[in-house]
Amino acid sequence: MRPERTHVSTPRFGRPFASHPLLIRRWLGAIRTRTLLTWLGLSIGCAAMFSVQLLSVSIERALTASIRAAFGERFIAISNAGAGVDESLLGDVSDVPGVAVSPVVYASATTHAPFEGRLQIVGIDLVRSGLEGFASFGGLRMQVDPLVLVADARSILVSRAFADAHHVAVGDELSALTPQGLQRLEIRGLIETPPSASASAAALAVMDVYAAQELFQRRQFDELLVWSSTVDLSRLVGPLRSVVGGRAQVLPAGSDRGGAEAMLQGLRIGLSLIGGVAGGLGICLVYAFASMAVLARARDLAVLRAIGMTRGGVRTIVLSEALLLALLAVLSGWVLGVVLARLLLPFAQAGMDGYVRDVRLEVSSLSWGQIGRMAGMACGAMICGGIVPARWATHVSVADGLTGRVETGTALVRSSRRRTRVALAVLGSVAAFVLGSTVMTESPTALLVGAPILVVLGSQVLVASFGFIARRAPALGCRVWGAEGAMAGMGLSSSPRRTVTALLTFTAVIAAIGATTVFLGSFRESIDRWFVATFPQDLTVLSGTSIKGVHVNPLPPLVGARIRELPDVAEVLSVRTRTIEYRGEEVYLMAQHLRPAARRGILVRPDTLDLPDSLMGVVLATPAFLRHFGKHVGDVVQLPTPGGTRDFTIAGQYLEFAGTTGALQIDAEEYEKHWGDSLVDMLEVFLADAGNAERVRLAILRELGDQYDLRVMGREEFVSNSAERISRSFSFTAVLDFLFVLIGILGISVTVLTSLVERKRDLGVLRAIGALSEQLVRSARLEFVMISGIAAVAGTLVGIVGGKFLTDVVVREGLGWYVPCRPPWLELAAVAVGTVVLSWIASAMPARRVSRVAVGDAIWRE
Amino acid sequence: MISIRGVSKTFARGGHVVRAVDGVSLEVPAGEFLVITGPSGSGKSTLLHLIAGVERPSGGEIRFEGALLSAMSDREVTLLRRRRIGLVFQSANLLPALSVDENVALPLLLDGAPMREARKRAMRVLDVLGLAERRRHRPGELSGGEMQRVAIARALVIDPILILADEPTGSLDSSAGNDVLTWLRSVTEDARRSVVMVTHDPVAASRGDRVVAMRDGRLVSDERAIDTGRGDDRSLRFHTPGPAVA
Repeated sequence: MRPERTHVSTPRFGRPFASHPLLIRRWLGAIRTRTLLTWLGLSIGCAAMFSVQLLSVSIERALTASIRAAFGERFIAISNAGAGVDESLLGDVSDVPGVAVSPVVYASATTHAPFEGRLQIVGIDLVRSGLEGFASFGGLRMQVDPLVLVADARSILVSRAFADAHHVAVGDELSALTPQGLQRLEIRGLIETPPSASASAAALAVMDVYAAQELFQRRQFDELLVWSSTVDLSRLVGPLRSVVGGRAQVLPAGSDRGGAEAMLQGLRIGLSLIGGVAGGLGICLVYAFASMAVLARARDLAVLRAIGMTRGGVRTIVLSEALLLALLAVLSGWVLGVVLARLLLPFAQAGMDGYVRDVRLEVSSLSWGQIGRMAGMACGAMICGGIVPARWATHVSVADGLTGRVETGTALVRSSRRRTRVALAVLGSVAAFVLGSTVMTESPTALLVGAPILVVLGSQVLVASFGFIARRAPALGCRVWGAEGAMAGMGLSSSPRRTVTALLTFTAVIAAIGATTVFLGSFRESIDRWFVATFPQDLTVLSGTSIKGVHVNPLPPLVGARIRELPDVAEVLSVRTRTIEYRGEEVYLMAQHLRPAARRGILVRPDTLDLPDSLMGVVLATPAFLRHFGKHVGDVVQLPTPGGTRDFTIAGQYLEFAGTTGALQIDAEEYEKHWGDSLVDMLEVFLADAGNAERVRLAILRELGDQYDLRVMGREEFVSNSAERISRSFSFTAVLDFLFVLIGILGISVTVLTSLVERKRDLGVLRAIGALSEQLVRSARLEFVMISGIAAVAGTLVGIVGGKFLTDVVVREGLGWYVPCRPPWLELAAVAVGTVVLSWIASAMPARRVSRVAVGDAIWRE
Repeated sequence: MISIRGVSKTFARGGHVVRAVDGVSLEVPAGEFLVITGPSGSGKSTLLHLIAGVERPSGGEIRFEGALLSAMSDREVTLLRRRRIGLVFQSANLLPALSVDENVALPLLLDGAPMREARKRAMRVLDVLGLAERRRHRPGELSGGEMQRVAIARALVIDPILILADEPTGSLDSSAGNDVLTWLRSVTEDARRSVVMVTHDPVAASRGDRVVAMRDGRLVSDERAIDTGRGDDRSLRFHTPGPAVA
């Protein structure tokens, strides 16, 4: 053929990155299996993030709706957190211009005829409040003249749902057990509850407040409800507070009074941690994929640079690939996330202690802004994973790439080593300074600042260690597994950087699981120890169920007195719990007889506790309270009481897991003196012979159980019941841990597949010189196991450090709880061994590729 | 077109310093087919990489159309390679994931050309080189000679004024190698264009207008071929001293 002249003009076009879509499409298509595995891993990570967000929002919505349905948004509540509101306050509040007010009493009663069940009873002054006020109460509606309830003190209204469920109607009578004994209550009307009300609203009954006071032997009201048809409620809060003073708390419309915020806060912290872990794993997975892709394409990148692709173009193409995978993973992760949320919902709901029953997972509950933010964060995290590999790609040595000296990717890092060393030296100095300051000043802030630096330094230490292991892997493998181990080690040493990347990824997975395992294990053990120490009584007697988180049926002192008279009962200690307002925040206040409690060892403390000779005017505080309000033992605190603000001296510390603002304890006599409240929430019964616990328990139930709506638990039952409630809230982490391990295994699969593809020639040579196909398959599986085994050990060690950080810093600063770090060694070992076993199982499919290596093709054709 | 003055290049390899190129001076005018020959390790490929801007010289200067390469940024040198210099490598170095026409169109795509336009231009060049029917094939499905012709097409599609070829016939049989040399030769029929080819094959070297030999990083000879008028056969050479060897 005669050569002809070629005249091709070369216009300069203005479309940057026109080559990128073609290259990305072709490159990803050339490694379909690895691309799919990475996309799957990223999708699972996104699904975990989305599911926890969806769960959090849905539960929060249901909880808020439940609270609003129960508490309503159209009234202000004046409450003493269960201690009772005096009748004298009613007159003072009524005098505030523009208000309408009704006292309220909450109670519960067991019905015996015509059916056995439990009614939650609300006593309200319908004459004073009228229908409008009644409607303010959680949106309830009735169609009967309120005077019918006043005409007969035993008249009640029941919800329509209750009537339908139990086949009763207006005019029927119910027998209910009350402190006055068995009473007949007549149904005089039905009430409609709003659809959003919690399940407890179905068993709601309404009666006249004064009739309820008499029936349930209440001297005081539980709350005063205030509303207005002429004045905006928000403008009434101030005048009411000045009238009420310290005698009670004024809670604005819609306030949370059931500790729901504390519950939600715990849920949010847990879910945020999980979301963070999922995001971190996404970064690791993209880092692993992009790193291996850059290493595998080093020659292609060299050619592209040679024919005119700029460094910026190379960087953009790597990041664009990461972005494309991220977008695909976000879309598929969203769908998977909804499925995962449904799977996790029962676990999360169990953690809410049945407080919220009707949780609906509605994707529409998430706003576009929230969805956009989640998607943006997921994409951003994954692109972050591609930043370092993109930088590597720009450092491809073109000359080495063109002459084929770049198989191991060593050319990629030549120019970055010195900068890395300088950066490490600087970081090391800063970290040493921060650590020193932290140790000397015990400042958690310093540790929080130093933690990211430690992570960076720690990862460099890991990189160096893994590189050392990777290079010696053939010798190590040979020593342990013989020839097949050596072949497996060759897979690790053929590309140390790829091996290090895979090890880092899987180590991060195991470390994340390890850290949460250490935290949960330490937390459970602390709770167990705390419960065992704090509740040494043989029997625990509690008041009945709560309505809307407010304790109902607090026990009169009479109950304790009658239990004391029973045979075999040595001592009965009472506990009263409430909340008070201190510096604008809610703080728990517990009242009990401190000296007997201290004698019994109930007061658990992190350090020595010596009670002062006089308990007048003193309180004990938890470490969380001291830290939150900046107080110390010996300081004076001003606490609001019905009689005005009083000074109390902090006499010592004690341990309690009560919330972020902490708790205070006061002697029962001091409490009754200042708050005028002799009711109790819990009785701790000590027996002369603990062996008689069951007999005494039955005797208490027989004598007083139904009348006072009692629940009596033995020691083990009480401790395990309480600890189990807390464990249940974290039970869904096991599902997520499994998903994280799955992500890690997918990452290893990508690594091993890349290794097998790149070593096709080596594998062909091994076959040619006599290695059996099954030997190569076993060596490929051993390669898997070696990576997961090394990562399991490293990840467990890192996880222990991470767990200590979680317990010492995050929990202490975030929740105000003192949780000593006690790693659960058996669980940690089980996680490590379990992941290695899972890896062995997962290695079967990728290793099968080795058996398909054709010797001739591998050696003589690339 | 190309002016090389006292250029040297050193590498650190395993703790030793290797002078791959040592004080080379050379001029390559437009329209010339220059062959650089020498044994393995003589520095000829390194010199080629220096001319292409792939490596930076440790000393001396290289000017391309009067512009000093070492004064250019990496981006400027890269754009120079993209628009003015065509590279042909020993092993073709095609991207295995792309088809033949996509490989040829790649430099145009890098310059922002729409895919359709780039493919059209690529097809024109492939047609001239007799590879139009193979446009959808992947490099793995081509013979060595075909791959090298695709590499030449990729180098030509940008209408370069300089083609740098590093052992283009190194892995080809004599027939395929002859074809490649013929195509490279034809490039210089356009007086604007020059070809610099590195080879250790004396037969390939005989196709050049001028042959410079390197040994141990230095130029040791510079011969200009004289057209004996006996057609394309340039196997006979008359020694004509070229510019002084440094």
